[in-house]
Amino acid sequence: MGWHNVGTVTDEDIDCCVRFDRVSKQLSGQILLDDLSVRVPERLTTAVIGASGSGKSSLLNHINGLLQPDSGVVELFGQPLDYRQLSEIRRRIGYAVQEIGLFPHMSVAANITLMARLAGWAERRIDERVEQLLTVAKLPRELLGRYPGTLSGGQQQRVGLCRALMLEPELLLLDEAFSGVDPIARQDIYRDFIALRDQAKCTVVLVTHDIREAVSLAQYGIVLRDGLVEQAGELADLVRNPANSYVESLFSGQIP
Amino acid sequence: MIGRGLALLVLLSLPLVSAAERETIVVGTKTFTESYVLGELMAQVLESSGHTVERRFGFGGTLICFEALRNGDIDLYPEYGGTIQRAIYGGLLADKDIARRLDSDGLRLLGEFGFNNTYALAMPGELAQRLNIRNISDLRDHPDLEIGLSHEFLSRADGWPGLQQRYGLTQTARGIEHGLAYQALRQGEIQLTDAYSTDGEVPRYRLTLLRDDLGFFPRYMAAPLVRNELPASATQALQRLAGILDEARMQQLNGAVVIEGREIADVAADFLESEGLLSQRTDSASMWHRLLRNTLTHLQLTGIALFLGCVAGLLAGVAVHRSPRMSRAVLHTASLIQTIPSIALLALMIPLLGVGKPPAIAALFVYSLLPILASTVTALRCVDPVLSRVATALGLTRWQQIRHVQLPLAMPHILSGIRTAAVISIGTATLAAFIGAGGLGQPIVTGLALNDPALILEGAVPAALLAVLTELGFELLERRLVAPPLRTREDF
Repeated sequence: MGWHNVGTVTDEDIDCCVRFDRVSKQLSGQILLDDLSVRVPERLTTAVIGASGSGKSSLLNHINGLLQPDSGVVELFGQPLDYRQLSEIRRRIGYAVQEIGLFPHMSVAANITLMARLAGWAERRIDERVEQLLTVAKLPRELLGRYPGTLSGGQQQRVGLCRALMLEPELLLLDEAFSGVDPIARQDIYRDFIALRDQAKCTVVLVTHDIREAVSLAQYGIVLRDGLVEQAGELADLVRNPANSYVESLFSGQIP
Repeated sequence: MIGRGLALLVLLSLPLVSAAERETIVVGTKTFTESYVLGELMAQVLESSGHTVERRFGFGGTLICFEALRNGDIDLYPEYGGTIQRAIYGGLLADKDIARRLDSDGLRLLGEFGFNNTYALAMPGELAQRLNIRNISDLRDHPDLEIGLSHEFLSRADGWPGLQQRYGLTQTARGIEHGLAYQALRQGEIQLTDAYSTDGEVPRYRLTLLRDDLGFFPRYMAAPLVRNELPASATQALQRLAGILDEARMQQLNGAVVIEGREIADVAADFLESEGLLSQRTDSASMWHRLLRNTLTHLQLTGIALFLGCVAGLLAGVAVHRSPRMSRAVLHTASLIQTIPSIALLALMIPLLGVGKPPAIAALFVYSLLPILASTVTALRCVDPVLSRVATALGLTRWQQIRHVQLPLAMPHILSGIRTAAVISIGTATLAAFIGAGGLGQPIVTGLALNDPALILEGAVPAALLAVLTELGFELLERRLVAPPLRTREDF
């Protein structure tokens, strides 16, 4: 897989897409992120790994401004996140989640193209982009007129990915996006996701509790525990040189 | 969608505007037979002298009718001297003082019709004989009499309270619609009621009118009460009615309507013809014409109120749904308003907006607000938070989320709220006739006053049909506005 060719990256010399600088966040008395600093390298797929409650979804939600830090700075595309311009910034970020969240009252086509229509894309450009996405995601055109409720789980998740990638985002955020897909279909959707990602050439941050998924899809890893970074770096490196016993136990027996 | 709604509003408002710049003379009446007959006599005399007349009969009560006249919603109505003196100006004034008070309100009385329709107490003749009651003062010996009085008489200073005081009467009386009182007397549910000395039922039901031995009731000489700016040609025509009716003739005309069940317009025309006051009979509006006019007015009242209710309810719902505390506050306020009885709410609107359509629309609007607001807030709050989060994360602005995600998802629920509001409005609007707004309540009010079931049905049946059609209309609307997967029945 791709990451074998990436070579060694260290924290300092990577071009980063996202940078957290001493970010802390509490919500209703619970510490989500605790003085967390981390970088997400550009054009790679980064897996945020951790048990539930480790703060991995909180980290993701800080990137697109769904959460705002109590203290610290979130930098995105080389600039501190401007919370007054969130709608504009979010259109440069794709987003897909475990629950998928397709709009049930819109057809598949309407779901995928909503943001492009709101952004004022020409009809032809929309058609071409949809065509491209459907092909890579291996979704038959006939699905376009149907409503999400009539699709299988795997089809819904593919539609969700197409929607997230419609505007050709520079960054794609995935929050346990594949956890709902049954294990048999998972290998297929991994393959199609990789095709979509490589076509889009965008940075990906995926949150998962599934090490196998992280290793299958990502080149870079961030291991979180109780709102703190245990270790971050090239995934292969994390596997080979775990910083501590927690990271080691996470990866033990997971290497293909 | 919004444009179409505005066009609809403009369309519905047209009759309101055209009514404001009319050349026609508007004749009003209160809700009892004699008032209708006199109103019809005046209307026909005016028509016969070449004026265009609009009949807005059946204002629910003296003060509402008087207020309508003073505001210029109507140009004249038949009123009684004693009523002006006591019920309207609330005191004993000399005739010239009354004229001055009226003049300062821009009004005057024309020549009296000639009869004195004073209040009287009526009871079945046999019962009066058996109990040996001839005078009102004899009632003191019968504290257990079942007394049912018209609502107005029960509350007027020159009605029951004054009478009780003057005669020292201890009975408690309950309110009853005047049109039903005679029937109740006959069936023995009540034994005494207030009557007018010219009521057609008095001879027919063999009722005894008790003598006012202490002289409590003032003289109630009927006359046209008109606005000063009524054209001279119109007042001249009306003056021809002065002095042509005595008590017996008035009883006869009233009886022809109430007992023989003849059309008021025919009774009035026959009488005017026999007096040589009618050059040609104008065809009274046919039932279908009346039905159409009433239905259109009804649709106008409910349509405007509902439209405003939708606009206000949706806007308020969208504005507050995010805050649980605001949602609760708004919903509580709206349901508090909903508990005001509709007839009371209509009456409360009169000091603010006068009589006629505007106060009726305002009251209906207030009523339609709760179901729409409640369903909007509830439906918006029920939208799956995941969808809202995804919509936010995809970069939809707040307004885009509401427009493309929340509202369409909430639409089935909101529509059912609007549907409830529409059906409530159609029902409640029948009460609007009491404050002179017209509509399908008009024949119901008149039918109640005349004890005419056919007339009541003429309002009730179309109102019920309208409600059913509204239900069907909303089903069609649901098909247009609600995405297939969200529809209640029907597969997609």
